Amino acid sequence: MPSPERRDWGALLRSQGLGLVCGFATVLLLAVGSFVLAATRDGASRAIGMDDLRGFFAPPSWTHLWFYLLVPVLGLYGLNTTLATWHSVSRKIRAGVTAPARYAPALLHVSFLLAMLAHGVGGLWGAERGEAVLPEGSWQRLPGGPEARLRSLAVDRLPGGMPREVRAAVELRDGAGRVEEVLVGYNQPISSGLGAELHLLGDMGQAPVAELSLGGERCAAVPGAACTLGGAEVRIASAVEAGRMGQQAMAQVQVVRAGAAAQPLWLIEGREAALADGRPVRLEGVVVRPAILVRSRSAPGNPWAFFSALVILGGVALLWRRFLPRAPAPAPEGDDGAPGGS
Amino acid sequence: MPPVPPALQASSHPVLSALLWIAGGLYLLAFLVTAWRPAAGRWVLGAGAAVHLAGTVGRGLAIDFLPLTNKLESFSGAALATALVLAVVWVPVRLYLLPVQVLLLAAMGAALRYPLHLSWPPPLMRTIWYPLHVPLSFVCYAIWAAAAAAALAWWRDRDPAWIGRIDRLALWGFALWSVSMITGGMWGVVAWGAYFMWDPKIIWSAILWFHYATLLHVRLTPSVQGKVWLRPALAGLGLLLVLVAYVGTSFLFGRSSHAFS
Repeated sequence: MPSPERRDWGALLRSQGLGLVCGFATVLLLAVGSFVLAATRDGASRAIGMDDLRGFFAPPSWTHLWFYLLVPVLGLYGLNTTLATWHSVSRKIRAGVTAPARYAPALLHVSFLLAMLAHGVGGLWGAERGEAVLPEGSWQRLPGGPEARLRSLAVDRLPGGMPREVRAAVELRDGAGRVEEVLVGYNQPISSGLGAELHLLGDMGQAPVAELSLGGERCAAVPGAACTLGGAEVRIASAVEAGRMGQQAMAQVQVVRAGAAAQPLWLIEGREAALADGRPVRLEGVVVRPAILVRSRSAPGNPWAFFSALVILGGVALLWRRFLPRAPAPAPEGDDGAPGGS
Repeated sequence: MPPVPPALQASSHPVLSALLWIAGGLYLLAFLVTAWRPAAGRWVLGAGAAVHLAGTVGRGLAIDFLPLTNKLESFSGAALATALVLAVVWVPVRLYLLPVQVLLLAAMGAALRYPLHLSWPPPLMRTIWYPLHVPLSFVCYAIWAAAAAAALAWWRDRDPAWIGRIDRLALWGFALWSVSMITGGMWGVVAWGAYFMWDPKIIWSAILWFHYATLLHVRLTPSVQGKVWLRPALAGLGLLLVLVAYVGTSFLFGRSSHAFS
């Protein structure tokens, strides 16, 4: 038998009263936080982007006091919800309650706990992985993802020029060389792991692509990206197509080989330049091609949020009877003498 | 502001513009009729909502999308949701009906203050999650406005039936708001890669969810059973939170992922 004192603590921690206090405190702290975040967006809150939680501690600041208070409040709220739900469900099971609708509140509570878990996981381990330009025809590695190549880009535009729909056919190539084609567009990212890894369309247009060759090997990349040539990584610093700064196209590249210093090179279309090991590299040309900008993001909270959504939908569906007016409806009298009701 | 293409200008769609003005007129008439004889106001309000719905559908057909693409259509949509919800939850009591109708007129008046041009939706709006998210949010705002009005009526009558109505409206709103947050979250994932962001509108959406979740638990809390006023007070406070979440976040907080126009 637990001691009365211990039982009292247990009762307090799972009490509805504590739940109310946590609920009101959460509302108050979030309201304060919304104003603080807006007022310090270019200052102390500059590091807080998307759903990130780490920004509140990098570095810690009195500005984020509302958040530092919110964390224990939500922790207590979670504990209260867990204990109350456990108590309620175990009591119903012992009493032989089998009607699913009676367990609907427990589902809502579980979904709340899953949502908090999602916020924690996403906020602490989520990351912006970076951006990549995918030009038509050239393989590029998506940040934190597979290699990808734009096969075609179709943009359906409205009369004013605004895109109505963007359909970018993209090939993905995994480590084993398997190729899969996917469609990318606005609101249509490349997604894996129930949204845990996302590659989102950031922009589309055209980009200069530097085409290089070394012996019989060729590679192509846009400025800011790299491709592999003769076992070395060739990073394109800039690329100018023919006719813009002279008769020939030009590219500034950095060649990086394992265990060697980066070698900067200026390449001019049609001419060869020597790598550090003496092999000749050549700029075949700079071609402007359709391209898309892809933003890659790791969002490990998304699958948990998805599970939370499924559970809450189940809970709401089981509660459907409670949405109906109760009979007999004790509607008030109308103040013009008409009977009440809705 | 870029110039409005001729095809989208209000002058190119005089019928659609007229329908919004007629709906606004009928809402005003419904308010006056309700003040005179509450039971009769419902039919005028219903007529206004029907005209408003026709105008909204027409605008949608003209742009081939849900017509919630700018502030005019946002306020208009909120007004339409309020009218439809009020017609459903109608109780012929002035103190319950008139405050909601004041909100309805305010939303419609705000809509009609903007030029009635059409606008194309930005590409990020073009997803199934957007039409599922925004209208549902407006319906919840309207339901909670009705709950606040029921609180006002309780304050005068002290009739427990109003408390039951507050509970039911809060529950409807809470359940639909949960669905709306899910659809908004899905949109956030496919558009920005996150279902939650530290964005004023999203934070205030969470605030509303927590507030009404708390309100719904008051009924189950033995320690506050004697405080009958608590639920009406929370329903009233809830409306203030709704106003901040809907209107305030557009004017008090500056940048937002929800600011499209």
